[in-house]
This record gives sequence, structure tokens and C-alpha cells, in this order.
Amino acid sequence: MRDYIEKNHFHGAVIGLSGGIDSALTLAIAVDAIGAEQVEAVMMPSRYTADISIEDARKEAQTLGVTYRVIPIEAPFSAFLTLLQDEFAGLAPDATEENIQARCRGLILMALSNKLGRILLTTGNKSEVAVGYMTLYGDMAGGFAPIKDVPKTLVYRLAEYRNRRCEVIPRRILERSWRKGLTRTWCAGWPGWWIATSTSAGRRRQVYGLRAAPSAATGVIRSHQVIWPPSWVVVAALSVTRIDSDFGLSYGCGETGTARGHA
Amino acid sequence: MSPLPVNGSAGLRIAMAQINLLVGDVSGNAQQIVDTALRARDELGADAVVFPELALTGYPPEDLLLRPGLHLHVLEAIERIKRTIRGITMIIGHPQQALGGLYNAVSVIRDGELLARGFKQHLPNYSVFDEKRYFVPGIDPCVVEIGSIPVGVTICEDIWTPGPAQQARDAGARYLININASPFHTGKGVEREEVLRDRVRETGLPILYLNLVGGQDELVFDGASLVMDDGGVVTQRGAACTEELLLVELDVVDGGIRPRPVECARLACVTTSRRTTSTVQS
Repeated sequence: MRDYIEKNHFHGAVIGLSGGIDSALTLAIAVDAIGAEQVEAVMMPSRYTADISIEDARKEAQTLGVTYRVIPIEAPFSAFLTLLQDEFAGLAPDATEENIQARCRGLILMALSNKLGRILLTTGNKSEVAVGYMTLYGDMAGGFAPIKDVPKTLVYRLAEYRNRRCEVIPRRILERSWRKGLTRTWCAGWPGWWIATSTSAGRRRQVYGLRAAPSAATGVIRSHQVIWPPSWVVVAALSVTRIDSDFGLSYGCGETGTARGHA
Repeated sequence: MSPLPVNGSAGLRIAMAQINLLVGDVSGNAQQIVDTALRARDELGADAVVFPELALTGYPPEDLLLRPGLHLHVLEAIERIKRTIRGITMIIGHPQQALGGLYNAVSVIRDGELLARGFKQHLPNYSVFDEKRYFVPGIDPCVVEIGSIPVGVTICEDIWTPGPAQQARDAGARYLININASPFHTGKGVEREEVLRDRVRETGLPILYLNLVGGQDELVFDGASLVMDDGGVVTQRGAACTEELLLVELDVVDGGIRPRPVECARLACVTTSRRTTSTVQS
């Protein structure tokens, strides 16, 4: 990261902090790479953002000694909804509205990047990229993606490792495996098999991404049906093999949130 | 030339320059090569200094290699290096145009003269590599005497198959130098050691494995150079992801070459200020 920033003559880096583990790890890496004076964190809460997310993000930025801004996105988000209300008349709210929020954030971050000459770091991890759990022009915006080749399970391990050197990522970020407002997802596995189950929070459509054996394509399973109260959806078990020598089983994430696979 | 003793010091010190270069900045890389060679000669007392694969252009230069102007810059840089440095043998990777096409080459230079030139035989074309897009393969070994000892100089992928190392041994090499721009992935270090151990087993020759350091887009060249003796034992390791000048001294033991680390002579290399000053100026 340091070389990409310096060899391209950027004046440091800027990162959007969500209070989640990916942006937390990316921030820690950036500060280790180029120093706190060269890194800025930006928090962009929406009407749906939990207070603990903002608190955790602020705590990490303060611990690391980076400049920290809070730019709420309610105004641009509302403006877009108003602008598009005629176009969306009669259509139910769906992922579109979530994506508009993400794109508000992407625009703000890129504007800061342009104005300040700091490269925007994308915080996406390999599992998200593999299953498309990212928003084009939203959280995918950025000039360099340091953890794009890191599966989600390794993201957690790297964060734990970094905290063993000295604690910079708030413990609560590491312990949260789902976000408020999304449904909880559990998965369990044993060699060769992986099952994901989820409680629905009123959504009928859930998407799970599962990495299969290296020779197979990434599997995506959609369930359109709530099977049984209390809204458990059982995803069919898929055979998976070791794709990562550090981990054994692969990790899956979905629309309802992210979950850790167990080896 | 006096014959080598059966036992004792061969009197040869080789510096391995594990340095961070900048893709496309031929003149900057050449200056860094000159500065490093002077440090190796004057501060470490090295007789020879080794630089990574395609050191003059940086790695991977990709479609810059299709620009004729790049090759003029490379030629000028080689001439400048030849004119500037005396008293130390330099082993430098660079692209070389020749009658057959463009080669991934290594030149062995001393006191203004080109002693030998080698061309990479196995061109990797998988994963992050697409060398066949630019280069044609060489076919001959590159064996040259440095301090009276013949050494086989190979480039990167050539050490991953048995052929070039055996060719070099058959042409009289007593040890091997392998220059690299080898990107990191999880477990790569172990893979490298296993491959080198295979080559050592097949040829009976010790190997000096030098790697590039630095980030280039999504590739990380992790340094971690190493020296392996003819028993497959790693006698010396370069640091990971850090610029360094490692010094190896060659001894002769029972007629064979035994590399010995000169641990106290390990210089940290600090990349020249061209990048930071450029940042300030922009």
C-alpha cells in the first residue's frame, strides 16, 4: 500500500469508516503503512446507522491518531429520493434505496479524495467481491483495495493479529458478526459440507453466496420462499473443499449480513 | 588466473541487492543501481553485486516494453552504468533487443566491459505473468567467470524447471545466481525453498537467489532472498519486504563452493528520495 501511494505521488489516504471490520482493518493497515498524519477517516451515518457503529469508528480513529470527519448523508439521500419519486412511483423500496446511500458515500469520499489529493482506499474483501455483495460506484469506489484478496474469515484473523501487537480495533467490532437492521446468519460446517441458516426479518428474498471447490464456479443460492415459522430458511448443503490452506472451509456471505464459516 | 585452493576462501564477496525499483523510471533505477553498487564496493568490499530481474525497467513493465523509446533509455542506462562503475562486477536484469526479438536478459558488466549476457529461457505466462506477450525465449546458458570461479546466471522462472540449471552446470558453473522479480502469495517462501532444493539436488550446486522488493499495483515483491548451499541448507536469508544489501562470501570446501554469510555486513537500503521529493513537488 505504501508503495502504491508513494509511487503514484498521493498525499496520503482517505477511508470511509462504517464501524465494521473491513474498514477497521483497512484503516489499521493504512496507518501502519504510511503513518497517522497521512490518513483521514470519514464516517457518513444515515438514518439507519447504529450509534455503536459511529462510536466504534470514532474510537479506532482516536486510538490511531487519525483525523476524523462525520458527514451525515441524510440530506443527499433524501434529495435523491425526492428527485426520483416520480420515477419510482408504484414500485416497492428494495436494494435500490440501500445502494443510493452507498453511492452518496462513494461520491463524498471521491470528492474528498480529489480535493485533498489523498487516495481513496476501497475496503471490500474477497468474499464480498466473489458474491457481488458490494455496490457499484458506492462502496466499490476507490483507487486501491488492499484487502480485495482476503477472504472474510482471514479479515477477522488479521484484525485479531493486529490487535495482539497493540489493540487498535475496538473489540466490539470484532465480536459483532451481524449488523443491526439486517438479519442474523449462522453457518456451521464440517469437512466437505457447509450449511447456512438465517432468520428472516420480513424479507422473503435472501441471497447466499457460497464458494465451492476451486474447479467449480462460485455458487449463489436464492431462496424466494419462507419455509417455516419462525421464518427459518435452510440453504441446501453444498460440498465444498479446501480452497485456502489456512482455513479449510470457505466463507459465505449474503444479503442478510455476513457470517463466519467454521472449519 | 591462479587455480582455486581445494579448501579455503575463494576470495570472492558477492553483494545481493534486494532493492525497490520504480516501473518505467529507467534513469532513476539506473541511478539507484549505481548508488547501490558503490555502497557494495566501498562499504561492504564486495567483488560483485547482483540486481533483480528487469531491474532497469522495474517489474512488470508490461506494455511499456512495446514502446521503442523505452529500449533507447535502457541502452543509454547500460552505457552510463558501464562508464560510471569500476572495480566491481555487476549483474543486472534488463530487456534486450536482439536479432531474434526482445529478450528478458541479464548482463554481467565489469570495468566498462560486457562480460556475458544471458536470456531467460522459460517465460511465465500464467496467473499474473504474461511474458510471452513481450519476450522470445533464450536457449543458451549464461556462464561467466567472476573472480576465477565460473557462475551460472539464470533468471527467475528458469530456476523452477531443471533444464537451465543443468545446462549451466554442464557448461562449467560451480554455483548459480538466480535473479528474480517474484511476487508474493501465501506459502510462496516454502515453495521457493522446495524448488531451490530440487535444483541443488539435481546439480549439486549452491544457489544465490535474489528477489526484488516493493509494491507494484496489486503485486507485492517480498524480497526474502536466500542463499542455499549444496546440501540444500539455507545459509542466509534476506528480510521480507525490506530493502537490503546482503553479503555472501564464497569458500572452497573439498573442491566445492560453500557460501558463507557475512552477517555483520548487511546494509539497510533506503530508497532514494526521488519519490518523496516528487510528492512534495506535486
